[in-house]
Amino acid sequence: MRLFSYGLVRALVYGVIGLVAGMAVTMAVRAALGLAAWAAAPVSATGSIVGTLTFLWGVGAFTDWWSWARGAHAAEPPHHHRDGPEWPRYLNFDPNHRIIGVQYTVTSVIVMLTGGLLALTFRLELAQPGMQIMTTDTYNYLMSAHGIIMIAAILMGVGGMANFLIPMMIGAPDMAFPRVNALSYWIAVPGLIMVVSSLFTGGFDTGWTGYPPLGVKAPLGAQFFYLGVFVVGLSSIIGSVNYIVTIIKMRAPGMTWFRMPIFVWGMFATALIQLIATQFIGMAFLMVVLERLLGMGFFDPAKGGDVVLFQHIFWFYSHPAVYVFILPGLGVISELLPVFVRKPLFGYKWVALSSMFIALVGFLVWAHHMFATGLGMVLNNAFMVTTLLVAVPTGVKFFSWLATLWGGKITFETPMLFVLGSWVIFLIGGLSGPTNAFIATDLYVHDTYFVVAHFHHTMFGGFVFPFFAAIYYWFPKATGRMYSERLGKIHFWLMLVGFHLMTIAMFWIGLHGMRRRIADYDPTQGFGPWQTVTTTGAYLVGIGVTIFVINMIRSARRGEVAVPNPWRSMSPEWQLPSPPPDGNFETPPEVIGDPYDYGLAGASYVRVAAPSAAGH
Amino acid sequence: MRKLALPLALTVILSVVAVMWVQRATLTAAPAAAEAAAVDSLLRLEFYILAVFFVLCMVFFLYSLWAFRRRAGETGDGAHFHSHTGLEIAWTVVPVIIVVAMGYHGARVIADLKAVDVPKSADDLEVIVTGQQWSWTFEYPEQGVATTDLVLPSGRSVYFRLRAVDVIHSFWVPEFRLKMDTIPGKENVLRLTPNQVGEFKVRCAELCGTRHAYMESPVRVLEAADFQAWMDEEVKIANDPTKAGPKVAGQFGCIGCHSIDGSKLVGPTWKGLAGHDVSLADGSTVTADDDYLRESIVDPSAAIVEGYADNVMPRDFATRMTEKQIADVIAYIKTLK
Repeated sequence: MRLFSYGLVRALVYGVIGLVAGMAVTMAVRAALGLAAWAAAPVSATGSIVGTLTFLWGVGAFTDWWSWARGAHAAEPPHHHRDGPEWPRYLNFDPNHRIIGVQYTVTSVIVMLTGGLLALTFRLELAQPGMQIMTTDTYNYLMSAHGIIMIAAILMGVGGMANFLIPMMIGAPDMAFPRVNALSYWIAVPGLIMVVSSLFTGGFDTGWTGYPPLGVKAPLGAQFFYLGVFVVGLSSIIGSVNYIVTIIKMRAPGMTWFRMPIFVWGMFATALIQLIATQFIGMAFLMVVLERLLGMGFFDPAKGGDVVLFQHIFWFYSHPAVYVFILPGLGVISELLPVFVRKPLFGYKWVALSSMFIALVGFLVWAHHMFATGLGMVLNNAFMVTTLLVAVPTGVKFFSWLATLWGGKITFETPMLFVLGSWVIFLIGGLSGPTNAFIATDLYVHDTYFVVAHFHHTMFGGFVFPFFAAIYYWFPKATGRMYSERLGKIHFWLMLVGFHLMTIAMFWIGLHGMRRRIADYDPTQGFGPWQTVTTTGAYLVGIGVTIFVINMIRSARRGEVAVPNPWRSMSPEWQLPSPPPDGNFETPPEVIGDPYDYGLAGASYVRVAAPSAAGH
Repeated sequence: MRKLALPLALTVILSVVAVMWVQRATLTAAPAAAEAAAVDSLLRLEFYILAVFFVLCMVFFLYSLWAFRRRAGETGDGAHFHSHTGLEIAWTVVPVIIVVAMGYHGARVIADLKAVDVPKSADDLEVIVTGQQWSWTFEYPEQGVATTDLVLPSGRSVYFRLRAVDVIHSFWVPEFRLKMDTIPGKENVLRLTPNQVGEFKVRCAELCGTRHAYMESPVRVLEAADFQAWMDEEVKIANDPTKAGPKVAGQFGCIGCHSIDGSKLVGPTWKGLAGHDVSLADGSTVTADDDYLRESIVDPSAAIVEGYADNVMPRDFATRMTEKQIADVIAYIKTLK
């Protein structure tokens, strides 16, 4: 059974067995208690929880720990310097951070394509008023799934960048806890499967926010959505522990905090948020599942519960989560700008600390999503002011980036184009924020397309564009090959133009009263032509992403072999062979200068021992 | 520093252009309430500020890309400078000042509107709004009138008490600007002063399930005198059992299933029902007195009439209908001899 040697195959088989076994046991228990054996909700709930565990068992997540628990020595990871192709490693439980980084990134792209296809489907329906190709329920399911699937994709992408980059950037051989690291990836897979399967188990019509009471009444798909997000949340928490410990404990000699590559600062702030906040969405969703399954009335006023309580707990994660999505992306912008501008990052310390400040303030703004729930004036004004304060550290970043451009020698390769695109998109995203922060204007634009356009700007500018920049930039590092620059540029321009067509129309009709999350809209409001423009823009984005996928697949297989340091970067990861060997550096590198001293004759950031010929 | 002249000049010129555009553009739906003026002018002020920041950033951004691009044949690196503490402090402190000033202003605007989180004042017209999947009902408690269209006088402040039966909805008339959620188990309030005669729509702004998109009800704003005439008429109907009952029965869809002429529909006919004996599915017989009729409206499964199915009639009329409406329907049934 050669197929069975792949962890993913084993995991899926074990997972299905666990799912069925869990369901069977639940049915047996129900029958023994005198209940009807089959009840879809409780039976599938325990089935999917057992299936998640057996999935992890199948992939081998517990193998080494089980050996240790029995007092045996865990086998050395079998992959050191072995012959044969590398790709099977990507289908296995592999503790190497570079492999895990690629696993996360590829998963992110696949999940993002799924979410994108959903959006392109319901955008067709929205192009004209009236219902043409689907029911309002189908629209609600697609729209809701689009939201949560994209968020899951972003979390995977953040994990991808963090895993691939942090150890190399700080001169470490790997993450602090490699097996925990692999677990953080593999536990996300059944979570993602659950989230996507919500579409095939009845769907859920609550939006990704899953507010009760609607979430309590929603079809069975909602249960898979809540449980799936809970499991993906575990992945975030486990991953963030690793990032924090690794960054604190495993920096190369001489790498003080203010000599870390700036991306690592962004990830440090991100990991703190993930570690502290993620359990809140887990708890909120778990409470809804308990209310659905067992009638516990946490959010049911008839049973003494409180509807708005859910929103407080939910947003205590879900607003900081926005900074989980964007801080790594802003880190990529800060990281790449100096390389393509050929001069130091302006105001390094200010940019680094602004990430920490955003992370801190991010915890104090959650209720700005809830002005329309009638918070009362004290909460209203407090959250308005904290929300506006976010503009200050974000402004520091923007102005510092401008000053970084000033006086440079700028080139415009694909990664740089995506960085510059993010700058523009995120600028508009940021500037459209205050309208939602002021109570009086928020009570007008809240739950309109203005908000939809605003957060798509922050997500595309803060994550999607930087993520593409990062993929292009570190593609040669991961594969040893170069992507097609021509296709990369076509991808960029299609996305830039398409995205703005999409959102500018959304901003405009949002200001004129277009509600969000509606399957159909009143033709008398005259939004039809604008909606057509938005749909057209969305399809341009779709075509761009298709070209990206083609570029990646072709280049990974047949791309030109990349030169060792195509971007002439001073960062440690570019001093390694591509792809780097397991353990990264033969001897720990030594940090002897500032990270971005481009333009200073004779400056050097790290001293890395030349890789011996014995390696790759 | 000479390089600064062009982008600075461009910033000034384009800022003026952008501000003039914001000033002239129709940024929002046509206003129809007194509150719209303050909301719209705050929105415009926000857009002035962001237009200037947008222009400032974009001009320096695009100028830099052009002026500091690598020319053909160039090989060197950029100018080597790390930071400028004065600049960093400046672009931290200036935004802080703007944020504090605007925060103060924003708090004043919402406080001066006296639209949210305020007690009812004596001359407000009180309207109880109830949202439920997927319709709105409007009750005028002081007049004892309930409707499915929202009819309001122009120029008088209206105190909305917002309630929800099943899930969260949001009460929003875009032309009135401010919206507020209706939440099960919690009463929200919103005070608005319609000031444009015309027809608008309440549009539910919080995702509430299958027909959320269509959860819209007509709003009519009338001149004060017309409103009074309409209200007098409604009060007259409400106090006339022969008129109030038919209206309520139509409003809640009763007569879709219960005929008034003796023909058999999904539910038992109302003709000749009151005071007569009714055979139930369980074999017993009851007399259709007031208590029986009331029970059949608020708890339709309590007694199933022989030959009819259970679980057809909605069970939430107790929460959707006022006591007066229930009494009106019973009185109406009693007139159908």
